[in-house]
Amino acid sequence: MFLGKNRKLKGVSGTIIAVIVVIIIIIAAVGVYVVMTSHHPTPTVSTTSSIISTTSSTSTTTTTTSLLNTSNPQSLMQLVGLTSAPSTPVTITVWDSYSTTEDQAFNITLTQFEQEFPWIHVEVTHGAPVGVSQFETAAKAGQAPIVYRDADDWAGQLFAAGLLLNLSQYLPPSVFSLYVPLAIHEWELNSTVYGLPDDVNYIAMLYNKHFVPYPPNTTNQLIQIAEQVNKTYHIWGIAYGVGHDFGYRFGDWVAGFGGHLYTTQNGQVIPDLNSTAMINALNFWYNLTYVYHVNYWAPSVGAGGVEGELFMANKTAIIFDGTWDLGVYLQALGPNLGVAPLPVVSQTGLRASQFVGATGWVIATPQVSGASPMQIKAALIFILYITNAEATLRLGDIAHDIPANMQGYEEFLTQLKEDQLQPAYMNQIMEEIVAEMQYGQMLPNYPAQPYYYTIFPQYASEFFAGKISASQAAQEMEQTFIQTLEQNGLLSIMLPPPIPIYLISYMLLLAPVLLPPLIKIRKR
Amino acid sequence: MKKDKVFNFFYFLPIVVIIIFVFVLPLIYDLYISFTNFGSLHLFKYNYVGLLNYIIIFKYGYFLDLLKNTLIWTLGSLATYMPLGFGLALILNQPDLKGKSIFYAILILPWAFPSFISLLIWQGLWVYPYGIMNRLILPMFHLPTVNSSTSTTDAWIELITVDDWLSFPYFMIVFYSALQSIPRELYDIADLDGANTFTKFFTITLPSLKKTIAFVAVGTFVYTWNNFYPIYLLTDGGPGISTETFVTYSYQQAFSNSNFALAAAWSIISTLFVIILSIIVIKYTHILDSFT
Repeated sequence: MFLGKNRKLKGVSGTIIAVIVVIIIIIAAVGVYVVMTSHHPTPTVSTTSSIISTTSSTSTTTTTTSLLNTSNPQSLMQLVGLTSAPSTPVTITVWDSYSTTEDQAFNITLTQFEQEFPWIHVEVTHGAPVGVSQFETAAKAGQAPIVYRDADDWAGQLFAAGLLLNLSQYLPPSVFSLYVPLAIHEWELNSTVYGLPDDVNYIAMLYNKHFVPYPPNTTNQLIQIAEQVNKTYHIWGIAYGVGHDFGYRFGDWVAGFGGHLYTTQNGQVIPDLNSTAMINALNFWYNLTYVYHVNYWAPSVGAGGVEGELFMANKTAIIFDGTWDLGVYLQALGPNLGVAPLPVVSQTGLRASQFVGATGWVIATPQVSGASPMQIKAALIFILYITNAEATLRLGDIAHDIPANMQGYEEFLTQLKEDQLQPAYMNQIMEEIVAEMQYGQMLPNYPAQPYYYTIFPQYASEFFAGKISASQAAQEMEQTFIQTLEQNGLLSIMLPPPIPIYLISYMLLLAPVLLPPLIKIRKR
Repeated sequence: MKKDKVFNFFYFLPIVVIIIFVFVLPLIYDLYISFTNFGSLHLFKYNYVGLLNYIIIFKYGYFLDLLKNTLIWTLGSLATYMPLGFGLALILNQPDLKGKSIFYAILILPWAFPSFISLLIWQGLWVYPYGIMNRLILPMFHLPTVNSSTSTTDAWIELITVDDWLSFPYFMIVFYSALQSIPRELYDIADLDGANTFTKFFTITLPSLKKTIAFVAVGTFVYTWNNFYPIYLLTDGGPGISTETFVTYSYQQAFSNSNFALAAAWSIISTLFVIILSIIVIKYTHILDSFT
């Protein structure tokens, strides 16, 4: 009887256990569902999933717009999964690489940001350099800034090294559609976004209208005008900057001669520097300098370099410099400053196509910055805010940067069309700058791009110094690039054995012949 | 007695600790990472790769070019700024020279001025053809202009001239101090014997300064071998790599290419050269004899 009761009890307890297990599974499933839906709510809850379905209905689109308003604090907090401000303040460290003029715009945006988000304290280090070295050094020490503003051609290497956050894992794809497509594409590697752009930049042909009333459209015209200026005013027709940016700037001309810096072979990106286009481009500039004597090799680039100084001192009529230096030239030349696209190469009929790049904001991985999850959320809010329409438009108005935020860019264009910029001639200059974008080529954000920047000047300068020919320069720069890729583990290295195998074979074959006499000699 | 010896050791302890932490440990770490693949793609998890970096250096790395450049840079600088400093010290040491302290103060100025700022100013002075050196100074002495971006010889002239400017006050001070330590009586006796200036210089001055000259030469040799900023700021190793030295190239590998392991291997090779050459010099000049 007891036995039967026990069996019954056992049966009952078994049933109870089964029920409990089922309940636990149901609770767990509900829990998982709740957790999942809290991250990816339905359109009716008006959160991130509504962003994705922007075309599904009118009401959804309205919600999306309000949510994607990256000037709105509530929307930004929702985007990063916050419903309210945390009770304790959060500090984020920021390395800002803006110029002094750009900082004027940034500081206004920063003040607004701190008012909108009083719980986020921003510790800014102004004047940080773009590049990789300082960030890497800080990263190795675990003291990288949480947020960093870098150039697209450098940051790719940092992302490939795993030092930057993959933003695609933190933000919905529709956020990235808020930016000028070309600009956001500059911050993508293997279909993942790792930075949010704030301004689009590239090299333009800048000329002094006092010496050059109409800009050259072809390289033949360029030579003609430069010679004319030289003869008439006894100044340089062109001053070409060959400082640290030499490789970046020269890529424009390689494209004009029908070449590229890279090519794809078996799905692998490899350098394509040893090309006829590179040789012709090198020879073109050599001829301008040493045959036509119309170009001056300026040892340093930009407004602060010899190139810019000559231009501002009316000692050269034409330079090729970045849009980031416009403000300085405007101050020096005023309405005499002219801007035009790079000329068409007469030899090929192709326009020298400038690299269109974008500076942007990135977030360091917690491993290198030591950031907490809440600091990462604050950093996400910060970079979204600092790259919103209002902030990027402000950069455009104050520092003449081209906004990388789509809405900011469109508003900037409207301002130009309505001649809102002051002084009035600025509108025409900026319109020409913006129009030039159509001729540009994507700046490769290939992680090994920085190697090109060190290798190109090495061989180009040897060529211009007359030590090697253009074809040798092209050949050696490609060879060195490939070697550098091998040395850095980006291409498989093919090292020969310490002693060539054929030498070992010969030695083995000759050993029976050579050794006996030697042994005999020793015996003697 | 034994207790005293142990206790005396503690007097050396601070310097031993400093040497270990400031010199020995970084050197060991440098040696260690030169056998790894430590670089931007392996910043945290790097592996032992054996002699790969050293093989790369000898297979690809312009080893002989850089050795030649480093020797030109080091010996070229030494051969010019030491005699310059010595000559000025001899002039200042003349007993009948008036306004000695004013000359001394003026001549020491290049050393007192931050060298980084001096280099930036020199960068502007050498700009071809607009800098004051090419426009005024060189033509004034009927010397040819210098264009470091197109000529290797010009680049070395520019670098060594600037290095002379930055360094001669140091030699002048050291040699001037050493000259003042030579007893005046020796010269008086030589005068009585009817010795002329050259005889006095070669029989009294130079032998008295032999150890100072040797010591300064070895110290400066090491310093100049590793001197980075003049090359980095003035020619950036160009044209091509014709003024690139071990140190500047190692810097480029580390901070332009982010290949810290290869940079470490380059710096180990550079250090080995410095150690070997210093040992040879120390052995043959016996400059450390007076310290032992």
